[in-house]
Amino acid sequence: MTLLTTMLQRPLDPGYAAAAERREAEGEPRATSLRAPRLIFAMVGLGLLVGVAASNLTADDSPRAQARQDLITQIEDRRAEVDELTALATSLQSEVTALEAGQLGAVGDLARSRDLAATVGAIPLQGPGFTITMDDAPGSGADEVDSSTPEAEQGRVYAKDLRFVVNSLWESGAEAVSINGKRLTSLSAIRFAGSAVIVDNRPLTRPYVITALGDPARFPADFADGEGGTYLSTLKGSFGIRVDTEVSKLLTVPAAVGLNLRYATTGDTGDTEPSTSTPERSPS
Amino acid sequence: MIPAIGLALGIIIGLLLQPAVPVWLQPYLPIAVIAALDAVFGAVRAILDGIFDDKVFVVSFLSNVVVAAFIVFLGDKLGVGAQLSTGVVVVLGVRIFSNVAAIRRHLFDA
Repeated sequence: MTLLTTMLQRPLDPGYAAAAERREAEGEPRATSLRAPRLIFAMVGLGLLVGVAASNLTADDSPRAQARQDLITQIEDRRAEVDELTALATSLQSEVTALEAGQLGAVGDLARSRDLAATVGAIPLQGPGFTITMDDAPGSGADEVDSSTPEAEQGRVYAKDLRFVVNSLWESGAEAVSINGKRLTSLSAIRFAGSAVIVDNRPLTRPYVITALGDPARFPADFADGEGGTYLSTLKGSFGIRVDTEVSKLLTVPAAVGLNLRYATTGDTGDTEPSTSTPERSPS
Repeated sequence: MIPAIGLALGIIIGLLLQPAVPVWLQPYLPIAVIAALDAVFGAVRAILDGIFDDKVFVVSFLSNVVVAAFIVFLGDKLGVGAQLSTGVVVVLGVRIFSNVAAIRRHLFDA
C-alpha cells in the first residue's frame, strides 16, 4: 500500500518544490517565467514526439499490406509461369506422341502404345461419359466473407469428398477422369491444404468439375447406383452441397502433365517385348 | 500560452513530415509519449501551484522519456517487456490521473 499511497499522495515531481524553495531563499519569485527558450524547445520536442508517434503508430499497417501485395503478385507471376510451362509441356508431349507414332511402324506396336498411353494418361482422350459439378452449399464457403462458422464449414466441398467420388468413378468403370481440366493418373493426389483443394500440387478453385469417360451403357448407371451416387446424394441432402450430373455423348479429357517415372525403369528383359520397339520405349 | 503554441507546432511538424522511425525504436514510442504526458501534466500542476521551474520541467521530461524507454528496453532483453511496459503505464497513468485531479481542484475548486 505504501507504493500506491506515495503515488497518489505526492504525484508531483519533488524537484518543483525544492526549486521553488531555493528561489524563495534567494529572494526570487517562486515560479519562473513560461517564456524561457529551453521550455519552448522542450515543448516543440514533446509535440514532435507525439506527432511522430501518432503518424507512425497509425500508419503501421501499410508495410504489412505492401508485403502482402508483393506476395500476391509473386504468387500470380509464378502461377502464370507454371501455366505457360504446362502448355509447353503439353505441346511437347503431343509432339512426342506423334513422333512415337511415326517411329512405331508396326500396327500392333502402335495400337499397344496408344492403349498404354491412354491408360496412364499420356494423351488426351475423348468419348462418352458424364460430368459432375460440385460446389459449396449456398451461403457457405467462398460465397460468404465469414466462412469460419460451423455451418459454413459443413457446406464446403472437401478434398475427401472429391477423393471419394473419384475413387468410386474408377470403381464403376471410368476410363479417364479429370478435375477442372486436370487429368488424374495413377500418381495423382487430391489433398487439402488450409481451405484449398490441391490436385497434383496445384490448387483448384470452385466449382469442381469432374469429367469421367466410360461405357455409356453401363458406367453412369453403375456410378449412380454405387457408393459414389449415394455419397453425392448424402452431400446434397444433408449439407446442401450443390451437385449437378450431366451425361454427355462427347467429352474430352486432356493429357496429364509432367508424366514421368521417378524411380522405376522398364528394365531390359526383352523376352516379352519385340526387340525393335525397345529403344524408343526405354526412358532416357 | 507560448509553450502550448510550441506543443501544437511540434505536433503539426511531426504529423506533416511523417519521419520514418526505425523499427527497433517503435516499441518505445507509446511509452515515451505517456512519459512525456506525465511530465506535461506535472508541469501544468506546478504552474497552477505557483512553483513552476522550467529547468525542472525539461529535466523531468527528458529523464521520464529516457527512463521509461530504458525500462522497456531492459524488459525486452529480459523477456518481460510486456509486463514492464504495463508497469510503466500503470505508474505513469496513476500519476497523470492524480495530477489531473489536482489541476481540476485548482481550476474548478471541485
